[in-house]
Amino acid sequence: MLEVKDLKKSFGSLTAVDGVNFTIEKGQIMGLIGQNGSGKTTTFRMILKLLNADEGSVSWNDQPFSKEFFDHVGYLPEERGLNQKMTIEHQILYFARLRGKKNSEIEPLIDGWLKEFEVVGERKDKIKSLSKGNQQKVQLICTLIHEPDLIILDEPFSGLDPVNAGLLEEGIRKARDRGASIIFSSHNMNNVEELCDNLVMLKKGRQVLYGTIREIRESFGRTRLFLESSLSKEEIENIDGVESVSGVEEGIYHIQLRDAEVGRQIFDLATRDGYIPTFSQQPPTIEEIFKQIAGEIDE
Amino acid sequence: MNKLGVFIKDTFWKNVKSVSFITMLLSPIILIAIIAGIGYFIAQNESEIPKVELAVISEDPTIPQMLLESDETLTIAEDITTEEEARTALSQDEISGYLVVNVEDNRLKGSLTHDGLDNHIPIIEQVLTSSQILLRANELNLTPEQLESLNEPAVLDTQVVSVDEGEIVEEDDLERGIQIGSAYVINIVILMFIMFYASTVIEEVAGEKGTRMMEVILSSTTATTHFFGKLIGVFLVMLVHILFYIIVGTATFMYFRNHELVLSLIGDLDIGAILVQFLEFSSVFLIIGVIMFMFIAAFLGSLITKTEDIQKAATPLSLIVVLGFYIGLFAMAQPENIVVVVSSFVPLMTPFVMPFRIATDTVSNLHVWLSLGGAALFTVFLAYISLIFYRANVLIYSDTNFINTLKQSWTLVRSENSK
Repeated sequence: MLEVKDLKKSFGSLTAVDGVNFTIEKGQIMGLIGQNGSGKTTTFRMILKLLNADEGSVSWNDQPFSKEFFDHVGYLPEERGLNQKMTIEHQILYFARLRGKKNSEIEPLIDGWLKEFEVVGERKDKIKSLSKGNQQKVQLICTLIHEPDLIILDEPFSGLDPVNAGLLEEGIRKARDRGASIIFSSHNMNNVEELCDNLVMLKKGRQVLYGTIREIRESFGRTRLFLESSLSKEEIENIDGVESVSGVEEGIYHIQLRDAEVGRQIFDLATRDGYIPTFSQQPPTIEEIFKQIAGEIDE
Repeated sequence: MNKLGVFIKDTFWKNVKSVSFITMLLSPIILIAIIAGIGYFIAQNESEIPKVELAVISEDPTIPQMLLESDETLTIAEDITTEEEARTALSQDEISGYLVVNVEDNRLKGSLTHDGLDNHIPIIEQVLTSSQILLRANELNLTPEQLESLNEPAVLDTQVVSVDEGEIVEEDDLERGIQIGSAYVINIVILMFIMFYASTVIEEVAGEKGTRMMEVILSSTTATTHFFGKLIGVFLVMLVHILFYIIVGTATFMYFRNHELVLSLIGDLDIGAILVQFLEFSSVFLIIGVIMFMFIAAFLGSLITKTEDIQKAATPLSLIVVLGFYIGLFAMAQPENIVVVVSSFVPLMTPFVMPFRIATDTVSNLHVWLSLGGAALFTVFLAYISLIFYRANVLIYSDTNFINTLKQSWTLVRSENSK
């Protein structure tokens, strides 16, 4: 279990991280989102002791996180890279030995992992002979092969095609199933919604969201309504509490509500003549929440 | 497995097996072999120089005899007995020249007509002078003993000395030559070793930072472990390098020890004692120099963002090394010059300059130890500074220049240490 309490860090006059708190239980996946420069990488670096926190603490299984736990960590940094001159095998073994593993423990596993991640290349191939995507997969193998208990992935999905992203998701789930605590950052909210149990959002170093995906979405209220009915656009727009109505065609609407309670009123109105095919009132998606919080600057 | 060991082992094997190391290792041996080969070839050619033929027209039969004995490359055309014949033979290129010797008023007079016998003239003159002396001795009725005592040369004994702390110390010319030669060799060796191993360190560090492996490495161990692991790995490669030369050098010496040429060169000198004296300080200077510059190299390497910039990082280091090298050469000519004296105490210059001051006996032992102590202290200081910046530098990936990277690094160093 990883517990992060009140982490703070500033560089000169710039406050990079300001009061970050969260807990990741065994077998849980945590998503860390936020715009570029919101403090995600700095948070990771503080967890890993690459940077010293100005304030706050990081503990692992109720003990202060220290260098003794390094062997149980798998870290994929945002800045990717492998030694182009090494062979796949040498590279994997080099990192594994730095995690306290013996060559003999890891060597038999390499072929299996290469197959699982569908790496195109032999273990004796030089890294530089691989495509970028395959290099990235080798790096993921380096991050996961020593079966770490704490896995930190900084933007693991960036640069992966949907098939490879699927393989990575599978790898992350497997690690979770054997009890690892996992935290990853991503700009792809679909990955986050699909994979994560918990979510933290940072904005300018401050923690603006924390909870399970469901809790967070529900906290924003069920303000989004998908409706398929015979009501006209004007009729809906005239209802007090409706913010906007958009629709691809007559009869199918995406309605944005100012107040979730207005949903009942629309339901009554739409079903006055009986059956309607769609009435779905939902909280906003993580992506919508992200955009709303981040403000207009982002896209 | 110990993580320091992982870095040491990995760095060591990677470099020992690298093409550049093997080239560096073998190049002096190949170079020496080529030079020796050329020397041998020239020597072979020299021994095959064709003998030149000289005609001697003289009534004294001892002169041709003495000429033959004094100059191995001469032959005498005995069948030519008159100036006429000699002239004809010369014009037909059968002989290279002819010597006419006459005795007038008890004075020996020789006249040499020749084509390309310039090299032989001193010997011919010497032979004629000897004949003249014999002639006079005869005339004066001197006994052979008297003649011998006349010819006895004066004795001049030479003794090169040096003044060391107010005392006159006897010195051997050859020993001094070996000392100065060694100083040159050590200067070049130090230059080569520093350049090679500093750039190896830069490549090792910048390679892992430039390929972005550093963050993963630092999440598995400390920057300090990485820093020393890399440096010790490279240092071991250097020890292998030195050891290899010592073994090859000793083996070559053993093999050629009884060779005529080597014997004539070293004479009765105690080569072992000279080598020990030479290695004593020089090896210390070499090792301390390489270590100093390796720390600087690690620091510079950690500033690099992209592997393509390795050469840029090496530039400031090369400038210092080249400056040291030139002051060293200058020290040979003017060991007492103030620039030389001062720079021999500047830690970064000490390894280049001090060996020359020792070779020319212009420095006291106390000062040598002082400069070594200064260099050692400075090395510790360098290690400390490099390590502090190293820990911060390795996390900075700005695409701006060195100065900006340094500034950022300094901010990071302060924020890390002010907590």
